[in-house]
Amino acid sequence: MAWDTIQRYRLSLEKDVLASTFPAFTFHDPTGRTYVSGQWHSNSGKLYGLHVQLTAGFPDECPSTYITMPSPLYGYRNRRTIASYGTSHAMHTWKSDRSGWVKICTYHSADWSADQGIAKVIRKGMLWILAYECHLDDGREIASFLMSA
Amino acid sequence: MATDSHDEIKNFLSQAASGNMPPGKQMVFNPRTGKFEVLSGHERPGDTVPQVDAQDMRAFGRRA
Repeated sequence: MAWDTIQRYRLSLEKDVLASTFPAFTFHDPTGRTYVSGQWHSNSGKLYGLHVQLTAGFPDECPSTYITMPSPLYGYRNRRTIASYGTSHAMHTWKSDRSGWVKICTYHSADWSADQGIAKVIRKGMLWILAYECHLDDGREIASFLMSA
Repeated sequence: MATDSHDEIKNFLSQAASGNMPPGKQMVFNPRTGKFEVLSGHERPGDTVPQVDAQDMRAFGRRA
């Protein structure tokens, strides 16, 4: 991906912010299909992988965010995978375009602006994971643990 | 007292999702531990600890 001058400057700032807020997350392929990835031990101690894929319009376009690990990611009592929900308001997911990964909803496109940043996307991804772990307890949908507009 | 227990986090999220931010409590991400914590009213999260507010959670709420 050919980033323009303004985008390269913005990515440099994002890299600095990430290093200070989420040092376990790092940039990859800075001149190609740039993404940020890392792992997080949730409050319950389970390990998850997060992947934030930047698009050509960044920062005016919201990055796509995926749960990469565990893969597949199973829901309540392992009855079905989270990916199988596809685009679901109840589970705050999008139909995934990456096999084995769950594409989660962080920002609706109408709520995204260049004022937001990658660190905030990661934090939202972590909140989704917390809500997912609550879903595992009793089967309630993930939306039961995240506010509705 | 700050707690990062799953049950406390779940209670906080569940109440907030129902439209009522739990009174006297706030949820923060502690960068030192890498965990989310629920704080009771008299505790201060400090300047460097971002609080999880309604806006954070509401952004999930629009229909996909």
